[in-house]
Amino acid sequence: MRRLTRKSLRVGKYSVPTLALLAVIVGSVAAAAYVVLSFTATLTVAANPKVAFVEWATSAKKNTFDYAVNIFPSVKTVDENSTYGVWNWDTAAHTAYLRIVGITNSANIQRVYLKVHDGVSTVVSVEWLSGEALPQAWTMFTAAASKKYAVWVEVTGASGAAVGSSSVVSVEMKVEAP
Amino acid sequence: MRRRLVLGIALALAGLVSVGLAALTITYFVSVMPVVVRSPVEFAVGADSVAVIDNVNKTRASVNAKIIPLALWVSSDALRIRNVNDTVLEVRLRCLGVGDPQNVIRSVKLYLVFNATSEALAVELGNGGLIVKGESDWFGMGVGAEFGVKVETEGRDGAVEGAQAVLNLGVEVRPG
Repeated sequence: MRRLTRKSLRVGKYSVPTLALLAVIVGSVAAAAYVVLSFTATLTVAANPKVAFVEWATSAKKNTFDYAVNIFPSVKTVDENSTYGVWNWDTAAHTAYLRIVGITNSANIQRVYLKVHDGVSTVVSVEWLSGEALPQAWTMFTAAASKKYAVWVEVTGASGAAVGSSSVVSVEMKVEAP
Repeated sequence: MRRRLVLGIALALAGLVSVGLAALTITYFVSVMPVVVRSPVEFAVGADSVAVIDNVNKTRASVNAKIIPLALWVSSDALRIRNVNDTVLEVRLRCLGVGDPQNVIRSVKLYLVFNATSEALAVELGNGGLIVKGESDWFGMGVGAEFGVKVETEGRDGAVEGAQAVLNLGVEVRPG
């Protein structure tokens, strides 16, 4: 290194330090070897996926909904047909999935049970029991063409559930070929 | 007479100086001759068939994504990037521009997918197309390797059906 810094090359009548000359050459090579390709992503708004939620009162499709319910310590609260259902409004069947992704203040809750049903049979259900890991893996079901399903919600409060405090159960539904 | 002599000498000197300056101007000629070569990486359509390759050289592509209000739209295999060079490369994804005139974006995430179990968040946009993460790290890409591009969108509540937003993205490539 010391020899490089001391040594100079003659370019015409000028004397140029070797290290500086090398730096210029390497810099030129590195700058040239660089390519940028580009692509565009066009995002077009679609109102709803082919399988969406449905608000029973208005028959409107929804992409999300909030469901509020009072629970009581050591008591199971059941809503066999919550205010929103699941609706495949396409003319073809779709594969869909359900999972529970999170529960806040989980000490308030002993059990959560959700199922999607058509009044006769259950197409999918997910359950969480206190002390267990959340059922975050997707549970698959097939939503038949042009069919609406009810959502059954069961929540059992823990024996020591704190009166006045709230818990939030976050549920996700995934739809293929939306 | 004397004043004329002084003026004459001054003019002669000025002429000499200007001729000297002109002589100091040297023009060197450098030729730049671009030669068409194959791009080191090329695009390919992913399994979700939401992308279109725009040219025969496979160096431009368009991804036709959907964005649904308050729901995630995911294409886990939207576009592929192939190393068609005979050397190891480094690649990164970069957001070059966002157009969201109708304010439809709640979030957009683009991932570089290396294999079935490994991916990295490359670009992230927030509300209204605000750039949260503009570029990815550089990732080594072996000879013949293929990276996927995963696109995840979420629309704002009230976004009007049919409205569009456009992202311009760059795939930057350098020797590995």
